[in-house]
This record gives sequence, structure tokens and C-alpha cells, in this order.
Amino acid sequence: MNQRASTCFHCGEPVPDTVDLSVVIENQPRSMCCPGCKAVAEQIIALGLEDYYKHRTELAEKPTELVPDELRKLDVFNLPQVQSGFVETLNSDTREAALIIEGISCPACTWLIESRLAGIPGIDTVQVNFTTQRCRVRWHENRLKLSDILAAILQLGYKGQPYNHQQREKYYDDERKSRLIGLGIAGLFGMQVMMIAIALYFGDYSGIEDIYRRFFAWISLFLTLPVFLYSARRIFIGAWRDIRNRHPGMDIPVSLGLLIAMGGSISATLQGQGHIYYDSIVMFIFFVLAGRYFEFMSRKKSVAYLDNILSVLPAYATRLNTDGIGEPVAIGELAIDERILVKPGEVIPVDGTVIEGHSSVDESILSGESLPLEKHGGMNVIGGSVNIESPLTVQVKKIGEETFLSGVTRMIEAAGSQKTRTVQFADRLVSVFIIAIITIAAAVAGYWYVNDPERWLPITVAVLVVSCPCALSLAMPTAMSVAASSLIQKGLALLERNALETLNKVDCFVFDKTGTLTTGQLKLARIEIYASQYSHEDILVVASRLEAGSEHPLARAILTASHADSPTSVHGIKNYPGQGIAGNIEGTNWYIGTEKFVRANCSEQHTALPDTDMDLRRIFLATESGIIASLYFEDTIRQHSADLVDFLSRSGYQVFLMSGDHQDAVKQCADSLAINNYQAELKPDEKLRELARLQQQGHRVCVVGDGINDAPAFAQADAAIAMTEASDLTKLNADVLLLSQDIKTIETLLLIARKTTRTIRVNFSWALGYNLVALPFAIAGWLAPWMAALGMSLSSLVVVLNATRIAKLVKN
Amino acid sequence: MEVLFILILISLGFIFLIAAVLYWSIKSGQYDDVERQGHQILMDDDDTQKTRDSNDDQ
Repeated sequence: MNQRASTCFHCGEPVPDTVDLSVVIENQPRSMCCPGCKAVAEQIIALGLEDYYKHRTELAEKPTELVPDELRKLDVFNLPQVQSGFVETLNSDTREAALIIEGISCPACTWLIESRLAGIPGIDTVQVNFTTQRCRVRWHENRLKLSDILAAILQLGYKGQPYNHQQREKYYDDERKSRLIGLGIAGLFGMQVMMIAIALYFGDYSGIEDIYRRFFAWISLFLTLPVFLYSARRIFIGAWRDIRNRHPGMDIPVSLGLLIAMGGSISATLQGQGHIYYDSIVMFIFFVLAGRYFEFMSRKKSVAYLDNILSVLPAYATRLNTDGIGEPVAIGELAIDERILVKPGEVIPVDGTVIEGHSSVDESILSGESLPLEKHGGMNVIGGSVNIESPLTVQVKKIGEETFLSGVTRMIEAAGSQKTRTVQFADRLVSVFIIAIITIAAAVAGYWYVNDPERWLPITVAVLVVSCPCALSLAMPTAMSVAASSLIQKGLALLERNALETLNKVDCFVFDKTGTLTTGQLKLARIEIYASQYSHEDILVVASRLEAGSEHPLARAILTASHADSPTSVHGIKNYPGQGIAGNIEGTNWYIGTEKFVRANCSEQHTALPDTDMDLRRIFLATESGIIASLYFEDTIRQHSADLVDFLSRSGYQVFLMSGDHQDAVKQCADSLAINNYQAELKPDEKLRELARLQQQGHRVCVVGDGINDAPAFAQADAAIAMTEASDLTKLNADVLLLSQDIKTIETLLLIARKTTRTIRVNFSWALGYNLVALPFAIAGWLAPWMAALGMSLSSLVVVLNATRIAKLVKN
Repeated sequence: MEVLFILILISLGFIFLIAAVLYWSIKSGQYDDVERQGHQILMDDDDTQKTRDSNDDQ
């Protein structure tokens, strides 16, 4: 293998030219893209788990670099109140926890984690499930703590999170097992019934002694009973529920068909003459259950994705007691007027007022505002925003129902309850079909009972078997489950089953800006220099040295732009949160920050600066003698955003941009993506109103967004797509969730949506067409039962094969 | 042909036995993670040793 590979051996990301790291794996030096990957690879080798690289079928996920602070954060998981949701106490010493492991990409990962954890003394058992990406670990509490286990997982490059939806997990697991047993029983006994049926068919053809015919009929009945009573009980229960709710569903005709066929067959068995339909019954039950099982599994997969994403850090806060000492508590325990400490990088847990400290706070997920806001004593902060620079002491002002977040949640509920889900094509069709079948069957039974009482039962059964909605009931679930698994392969999770059909009717796309069309990260756009002795490069070098230690988004933008990694000493560096940074480089005092900040520090007050409408996205660099340069920033447009917008406008969709950010930032974004309709500075409720207005004009709207401010709009919209980094609240209200960073997958989504809806329609027409053609023959009594059974299986097969064509489309 | 009666009744017994085994295997979680078990056989611990030996030979 090439020693100077351009991609990282561990994670597959490109190796920057400036990085020269390698680890010897399988007797070859392998390039690494970052110290994080190197550390993980070395750890894997040191533990003797080198085989991981041989067996893996997918590259690893890029690990985040481990900072001691991150490891210390794990300590919170040792608190009993935090553990209550996901740790089981088996006895005084033994504990068991359910964890979600982020970053598992192939079965070798599960082996790696299991081998590593099993080697740690104090860990009893460990089990990693690849399909669900969950891990169950049992350990001895007095030998090690949960945080040690999480740290070990972190060191391997994965991330362990508590899984606190065990209730739902258990429900889905039991349900899956129960369905699988039902399906297995139907298949197993069905095969025996079929085998005997073949003997009986041959008997009809070449003659069979009556005693054997009757014996076979009794054995068939005996073998059909478990399928009928156990496997099919779901169908009967479903039908009973449908009748009680007065909502005709597929279960009603299926049950009716089964009951009549079973009744007819039993009476034929008892009398020793007439036709038996046990083979049709078991086959029918097996087909219906199989279709439903696959549909259930694809739904379960989507739900599991959502659960994994939503299981974030348990909510806790650092409360300061009267002596000013911090202690971790659950958020629910906080009371009004208590003081909490919010460290840099932490989420502010409640609404409150800053009483000490000076920092910048990122509210982008709440408001769409792309730049952090300066916060100091006396100013209000909103729960959910992120503290960036320095510690803040916050006095709790609102808790629970009164917070901004709860307000948004209420808005979502209101918008969601007003929305009437469009009645889906399939539902409508099935209702009509069911009523028609029952009417026809009743009429046929009545007619033959009057005219030829001998034949009324076999003919009614033939009518029900022929019109058996087997193909019809498979038409939808097969297409849906193929579509859902194709979507997951393409990086899209389908959270709302009806979304595909709704997406087809959408004629209008509304995008959020920050974090959706843009990445939410700022980049240096250009530098304006006022002192000609400095070059563009000089300015960048000075700025990056001053900003080297800062966590502010603008500082990171400068560092990204400069690529400089030669840290020359800056003396007396001083950070003024929300204003700027001062420092001394080679004898000169430099200031970088807002206009007000640099003007206060330099002697020359009269440098004429060009006016701009981009005030908020400009910072200044100055020495004591005057302002040297200004630096302009802009939001980074997400890769492929322009392609997507172009594709949508070409395909005839109307594209809107609605953002909570400032007018100028939104305008800039809209201009560069060629979006004509845009609105800025919208609050969540205003966004909701704009959306409702569009819908009143007769538009069907799809919203794409990520922030909490988009969540009410999601509930209102006809279809909603959430970005992968979206807030939990937003994801919960989304119909489709992007699993990758690539916004262009929305094109694929629209394609699959169109293809799926068309396939479902083709399937329905086929199933209905077959029924309509065969029905007259059955009514007239010309159709032998075996013909009806054969036709039913063939039409089901056609429907299933047709559905698999969706997957083929995705592959190309 | 009377033997058919006996044979079919015996086979019925087998069917119920298979059904019981199926029930037990699903309930005990053998189908919980089908994808992973296929790879399990490749990742045996003694495999590490063999790889090293074969590399040394080269």
C-alpha cells in the first residue's frame, strides 16, 4: 500500500498536507489525518486488537479529540439521580446499563468494543448489538465506575450515551419476537398443509380412497388450527378494533374471508364431502403476516434511529450553594432565584439573568441568529443557548412550563392539532374496496342460496378467495418497506409513513438559513487594509496569533483561513468577552474586535471607514496608532445547497428562504443561491404565520430546517425535513431526517417519493385489475378453487417483485 | 398403505417439536442480531496469532 496515502487509514478522511502522522498497522506505516485518529489507532494496536483493521468492512468514524474536560464530564454519569433512567441495580454491587454506541459502522466495531471492555477488570458481561447499535454492560460498582467504562469506549473512538428509552425498546423487541413467532408458525405449519394439499390434488386427478381423503382433511384441519388461532389472531383482533372504531381497514375483509373459508372447510371436513381450503387459508395468512413483518421492521429501524439521536446527555446543571461551591443537580430540582454556573461550551439549562461573568452566547439554534451575542451582568439568557467564552453565573428566573422552550413546545402542539393529515390514497381505496367486496359477496351468497342452496357456500368462498385482498394488502407495505430501507441507505430516515405521498404533492419548499442552507460556521470572506505597509498575509498572521486561544466562532474562522500553526509568542494576551482581544506581538500592541473596542484603544480616532450594511459581520484590527484593517465574515454556504435550489427551481418548485437572522445576512445568502423570495428576522410564531399564509394560498409546503425556531413550522407544514444536527425538538416533529451532512439527498428523497407512490399505484391497479377480471367467473361459479388460489399467489408475487424495483432505482 | 396413518401422526409430533424449538430460539434472542453473528466466526482470538505467524514467514 502507498505509504504516503492521501486519506486517513483509520477514518478515510483526507490527510491535510501539513499533517505528518502515521501508525504501524499490519507491518506498514499508515497515514493518519489527526492526532485523534492516531491515538485511537495506537490504542487499538496496544490492546492487541489489530485484527479490527483486517475484518472491518467500513471505515471508522473520525473520533473527536479527547480533552481532559470531556473525560471529567463523564463523572456526571456516576450520579444516582442521573443513572436512574438507564442503570439497573441488580444487587448491592452489580449494575447493568443500556448504552447507545455512536460510530459503529461494521461488525468489527462491535468485536472491538466487546474485546476491549471484556478485558477490563470489574466488568462482568458486555454485549454489543450491531443492528441496534446498543450495548448492555454489567459491572461491579465497587471495582469501577460507569464513567470508567464510558471513558474506555471514548478512547476507542466511539461514544457511549445512556439509552433511556428502554420501555419503548422493550415494547418493540417483544412485538418483533411475537410477530416473528407468528410468522414462523404460519410458515412451518403452512408447509405441511401444502404438502397434504398436493396429495389431495393428485387424489382428485388420479383417484383416492375416501378414507384417505377424509384422513388428510382431518390432518389438514389439525395443522391449520395453530395458524388460524395463533398466527392470525392479530388479524382478527385488528378487524374487531376496526369495527369498534367504525374505520374499515384491510383486516375486515381478510378476517371475513378467513372465517368463511375456515367455516366452509370445517363443515366439509365434518361431512366428509365438499371442497376444503386449508391450503389457501395458511398461505394467505403467511403472505399477509410476512408483508406486515417487513413493514414493521422498517418502521422499527426508523424509530431506532430517532431514539439513538434523541438520547443526549441527561439534563443536569451545576448549582452554586451559598458558599459558592458548585454541585451537580438534575434540572428538575432547580428552583427560581437559585444560582447556577455555566462553563464555556455548556448549554444554559434554564431561562435566567446573568449575575456574574462576561461572555458570548450562541442562540443560533433558538433564533437562527448566526453570530453569538454578548452577555454580561443583568442581561437575560435563554435556556437552550450555548455559552462560548467564559464562565457565567446565572440566576434562575423561569423554570418548567414558563421557559421559552416550553412556549415553543406549546406552539408546536397547537400547530400540530390544527393540521389535518390528508387522507391517503391507499386508505381511501381500501375503504371503498372493502365495502364493495362485502356487498358483492353478500349479494352472491343471497342469489345462490335462493337459486341453488347446494352451491351457495363453495361459490361464496370462491368469490372471497378470488377477491381476497391479499395482493392489495401487500401492495402498500412491500413498497413502503423497500422505500424506507433504500432511503436509509441513502442517508435519510423516514419518520412519518405518509411523508412519501405528501412529498409528492408539495409544490413549495421553505428553507431555514443558519444550519440548513449554510453550515452555521462562519468563514473569512475578505480583508480590507487601510495601512499599505501590511500585506494580506501579515494581517492574517497577526489576527490568527491573537485569536489562537479563543473559542469564538469568528476566531475559529480566522484560524481556519490562516492555516498558520507556528505559534509565536504573544505577550499579555487579554480577552474582553463580547468585545475583542488585545495582545503584544514583537513590541507592538495589537487590538482585534468590534469597532467600539478598537477605537477605545487606539489614539487615532478619525480613520474614515467605509459604511457598510454588514456591520455585524465585520471586526477590526488595530495598533495603538490606528486602525489597520477590517475583516469581513460570512456564513459558509453548505456544499450542494446551490445545486439543490437550482434543481428545485428547475423542477418547478417555488423556493422560499425564511430565517430568524439579520436582513443583510439573509439577503447575502439568498443572493448567492439565487432565491428570490426571502424573509429575515422572523420569530418562531411569525414563521408559523407566513407558512399558514402560503398554505391558505393553496400551496403544499415542505419545510427544511434545523433550529428550535423551525419546530412550530414543522408541525404546521405538509412535510418537514430535519437536518442531521437539528435540535431534538425539531427532529421529533420532522417527517424525514437527514442522516448525513449532504443536503443534496433531498433530491433522492423526492425521486424515491415519486417512484414509491407510483409503484404503490401500479400495485393497486394490478391487484384490483386481477380481482375485477376474476370476480365474474367466481360469481358465475366457473372458477375451481385451486385456480382462485393459484391466481391469488401469482398476483401477490407480481406485487412483491414490482416493489423491489424501487431498490433498483436507488442503486443506479 | 395403513402405515401412512402412523407415519403422518409421527411427523405431526416432529412438527410440534420443531415449533417448540422455534419458539424457544426466538424467545431466547437468537434472532436479535442476525447480521453480526455471521462475522463472529472470523473474529476469533487465536486468529491474531496466526496472522502474525504468516506475516513473519514472508
